[in-house]
Amino acid sequence: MVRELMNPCGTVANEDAPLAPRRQIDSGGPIVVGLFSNQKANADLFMDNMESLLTERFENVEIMRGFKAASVPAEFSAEFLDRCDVVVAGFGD
Amino acid sequence: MCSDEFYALGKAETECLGMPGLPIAVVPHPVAKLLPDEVAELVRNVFDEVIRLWQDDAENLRAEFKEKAPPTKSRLRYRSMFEGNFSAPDAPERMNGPDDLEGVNRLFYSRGWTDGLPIIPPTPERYEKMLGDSGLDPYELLARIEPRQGEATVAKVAINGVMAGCQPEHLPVLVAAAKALGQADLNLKALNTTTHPCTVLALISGPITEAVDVNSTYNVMGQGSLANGAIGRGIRSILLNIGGGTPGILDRSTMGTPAKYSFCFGETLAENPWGETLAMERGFGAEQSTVTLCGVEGPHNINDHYGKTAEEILQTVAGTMCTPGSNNSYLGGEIMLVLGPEHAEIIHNDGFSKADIKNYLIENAYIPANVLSEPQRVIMRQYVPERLLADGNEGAKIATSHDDIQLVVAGGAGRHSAVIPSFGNTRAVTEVIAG
Repeated sequence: MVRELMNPCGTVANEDAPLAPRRQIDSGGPIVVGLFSNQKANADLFMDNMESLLTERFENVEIMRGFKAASVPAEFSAEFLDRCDVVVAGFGD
Repeated sequence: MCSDEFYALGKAETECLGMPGLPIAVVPHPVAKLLPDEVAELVRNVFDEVIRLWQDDAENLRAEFKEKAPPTKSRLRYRSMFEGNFSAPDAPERMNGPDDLEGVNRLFYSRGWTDGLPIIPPTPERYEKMLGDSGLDPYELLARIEPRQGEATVAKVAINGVMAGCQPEHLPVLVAAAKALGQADLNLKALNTTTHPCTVLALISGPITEAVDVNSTYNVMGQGSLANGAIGRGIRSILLNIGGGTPGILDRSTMGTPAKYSFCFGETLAENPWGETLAMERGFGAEQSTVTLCGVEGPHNINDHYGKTAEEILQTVAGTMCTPGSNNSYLGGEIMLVLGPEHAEIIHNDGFSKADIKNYLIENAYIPANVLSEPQRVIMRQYVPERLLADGNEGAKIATSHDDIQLVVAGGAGRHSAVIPSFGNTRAVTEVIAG
């Protein structure tokens, strides 16, 4: 025997946005890499190391650092959004 | 970028935000405990992957990460969770299920739709009865519930209310609560995904407490009241089935708390010697029924049978509020103080206003220096430097403004009160209950 039951799940938008085109490292000119930390324990240190490796490996990379307090929504400055070609963002723990 | 334990959270977030192909580089968990040299090695090990996610073809990466499933380190308790997408825009409003109570519960549990306790099967008949003659539009969108941003329509709220055991007269409370869940100040996305053991407390104020028999007296935060139990459980069901707060997937709480099953109680003027409920203090009239939501831990009792004066009792209150491991200690934010009526009467009779209580606690409630570790002080210097006394060498205040303390009077006879720490980065929100 079966009977009808109501679906308790809330509808969630089902979008599938494309990724931004990747700007190649050897495409000429400076490339701005954003490193955004959620400031969980060791997150800033992690990004410090990431910055060191990026600047050692690539001469044309400029780093912009961004931060947010743990457990609050991120706010990105207009400059960060405008200038970064690519962003590495840490989340979770 | 995240540790592997949090990949499932990140994956789900990319889906919620409409970009399921967003690349995520993963490092082994945990990161927080690593020493500086170990962090450097971790970055060296993942560096090539980060470069790959930056340089590879965008469409290939999108396809790869849409398909990349979270690693299942732990046993997946909800075995049928991914069998069908019941949150999709074209998901059916109704489905066929077993015809017996046990079968429905097995099905719903296996899909991750319950809190683990038996639910009332949400049949169309019970759903229609829940809506009754409320006059509510079942398709009205009340809020999008974080983190999945699921649509909390009146219908979905009613269905979850049925499952939780709510009665039709509880629906207006759930509707108001759903609206409140969507208020930004609550910071629900963090509450419903954090490792912190927080839940959403619903404090009900005004005439509706009597109308639907919300308990505000004996065992006020405990069992025994249908309204308290079912409304609180209904909110949890909304957080789970509309918000997507599935334990171990999007709900990442390390320890959890029994308060996550249900945390709802009332406050009335009858127990309140100041003639002002928290809702009234927040600007609502005594004739208005409201629900105030707070992102909190479970309560901690304050036993003081021997204090004869306001200051003696508040000294005990202050000491109980000040634990170094609470989020409030290093993030600030609100703490709820629920004064039992007997404590409240003594404090009131000593001439203390509610503002006087808050002033006393701002002045006297501080975490002793000997339990403040140096790493704790580092975090406090970052987030709440104004709370450190002599850089922590003389302790740290637990509150610095009246807004940091939410004062409620509730409970039965007896010399007990309770302190309810919050998540920290959250603010109480209030909605009027219609009707």
